[in-house]
Amino acid sequence: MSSLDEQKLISLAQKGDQSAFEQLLDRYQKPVYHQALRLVSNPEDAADVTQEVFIKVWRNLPNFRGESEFSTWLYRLTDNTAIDLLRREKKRRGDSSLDDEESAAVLPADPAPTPHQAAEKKELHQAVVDGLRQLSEEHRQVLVMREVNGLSYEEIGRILNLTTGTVKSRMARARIALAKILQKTGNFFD
Amino acid sequence: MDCDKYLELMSAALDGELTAEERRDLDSHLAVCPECAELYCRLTDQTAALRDLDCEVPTGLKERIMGSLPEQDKPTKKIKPVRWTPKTGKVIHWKRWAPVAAAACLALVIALVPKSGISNNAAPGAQAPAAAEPRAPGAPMPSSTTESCKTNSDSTCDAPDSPSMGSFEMGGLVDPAEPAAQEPQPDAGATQETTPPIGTEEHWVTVSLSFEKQRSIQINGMHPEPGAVVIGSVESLENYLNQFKSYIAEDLSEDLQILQNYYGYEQFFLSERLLCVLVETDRYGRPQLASGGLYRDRVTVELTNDDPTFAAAHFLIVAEVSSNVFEDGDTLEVSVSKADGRYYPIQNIWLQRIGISGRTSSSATVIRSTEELTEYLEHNVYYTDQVTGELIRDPELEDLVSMYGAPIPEWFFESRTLLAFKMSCPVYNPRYEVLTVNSEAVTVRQDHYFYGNSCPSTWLLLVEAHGELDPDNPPQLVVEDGYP
Repeated sequence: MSSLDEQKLISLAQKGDQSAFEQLLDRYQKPVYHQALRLVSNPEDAADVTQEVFIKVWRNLPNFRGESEFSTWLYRLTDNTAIDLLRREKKRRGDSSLDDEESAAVLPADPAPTPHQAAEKKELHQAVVDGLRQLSEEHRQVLVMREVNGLSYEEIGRILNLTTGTVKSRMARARIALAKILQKTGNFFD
Repeated sequence: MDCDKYLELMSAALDGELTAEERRDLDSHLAVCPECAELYCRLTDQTAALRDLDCEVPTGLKERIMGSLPEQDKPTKKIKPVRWTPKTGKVIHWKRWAPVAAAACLALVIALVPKSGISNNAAPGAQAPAAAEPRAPGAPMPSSTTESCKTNSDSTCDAPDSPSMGSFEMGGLVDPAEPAAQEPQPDAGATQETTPPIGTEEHWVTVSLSFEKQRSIQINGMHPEPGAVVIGSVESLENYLNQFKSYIAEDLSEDLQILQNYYGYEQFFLSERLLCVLVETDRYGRPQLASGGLYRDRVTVELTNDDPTFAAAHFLIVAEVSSNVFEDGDTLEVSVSKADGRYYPIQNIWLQRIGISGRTSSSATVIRSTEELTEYLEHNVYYTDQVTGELIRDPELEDLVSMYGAPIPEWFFESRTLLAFKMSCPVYNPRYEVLTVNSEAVTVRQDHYFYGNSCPSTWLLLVEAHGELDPDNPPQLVVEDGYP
């Protein structure tokens, strides 16, 4: 879809055109779902997050003036919604370990892989997926935005209210943290 | 070998963000450091694996979404009138801040010294030796903002990457605490306990709401009217910040510009709102939004005692709030709570070398408008020329009509009055501290700060007061001698 087409679709959807919105959904549901999946690590939750994001987008579209990237807005919404969900879950469980990479790293592996996880057969992929899950929220956020959504440092900075320099250093720390986790679990590096 | 600095370069290399020089630097390091070379290999592998990840969207998700679309919001263009606050118009209820009739806020003390003759070391126009950090009108008030700005900008790139430091990246902005940031953020930003139906006005005013990423910015100089307002569009943010630009001292514009940069894009306002709370505080601490203190129509600000050296000041607190509950232009009542329950008056003592004529009076003159202030000063702030005996209007009068170096804004006299006293002192340069203010008396402590010159002086003391005052029965001045 060219950006001109996208502008047109956005403009139509802003006026309540559901079929235009459906085309935007076709275009973006996968990156949004993928981002959510890597943040919440659970296909059902990721689907809920995706639904919530697109409902928010639909509701707020009339206020979107197209001065900045539609996709960046989507990824910001996805990030916020997924993190909200994680925090709600954490509170519900009374669990404080999600933010703690050290303690998270020794958590037992998921006992029963879901069908979605089973589909990801490659061992390496499963290892990084597990590793991602054990990262702290803020490390996971930047890594997912960069590696899954392909956002630039500048775009990530905008979404997270960080300077580009901070994104850069946080990205480095996130990668080192992931490397440590992968090394510790022994599934990735020999 | 200092390998730490190469970690960031390795990461940037994976993102193709290295300059040619950095690339050379990294390559030569990797050539001589096997540990880093191995780590770089691992990072490259894991990055490739991450980028290779794929997923399948669950079947039926699109249909589920399309089947659940609600009604679209109406476009918002500009600030709307207040909807839910009990009173429209005035945003903040100052009377709740002050325990009784009045709370001193600003003491403006003006020295009277003969402008000619008498003292050689009291040259006309020279600044009096500081009783309490004398400042020229328009000069910035002492501020920690400049300092924190410097610190932050210096450390931005190397900011410790821990959750507790995560939001210190805004240069010049200080984040005292993020009480809600670690809390779960339910969809509508609300937390539990409610009986009225969800979504109704009754519902939202009974549940405490969450907020995120609160920051407080010290405001130097005069400022817009204190209060809390919700910003819901780029345009509203610009309008809000522009108000400050007409009041503040120059050195603050950078902080506001940073706010503008961070929030001045429409995507933010599509899913969030910005709550802006402007408060005046005493010398005892920096304000922050109280955890659990945000409701649909009101917000509680806490004054922290974390820095006892903090000067009295004005602060703008900003926090992100939910767009599901708050709309552009909403105003909230502000209440201020303090750990020890006291409200400490602001005491900015401002010395001017300026002549005052007329009899001293221990009974306050109540001033309720800029016009009254101007008139009062014109009749009281002048001096007698020692040679000709003529009364001369003080050339610095214009500056006196300004406070904090800026014209007094309209709202100022709507929410408070000034009490003017003329008093004499046996020494040239005493120091005053306002102790208490109520409807009966203004009590000040007078320290004989400077003993080198025994020339008597007369002072004009202006005390900022809130609440109801009887102009026919004004407060009396009580001076406690702080001289040991």
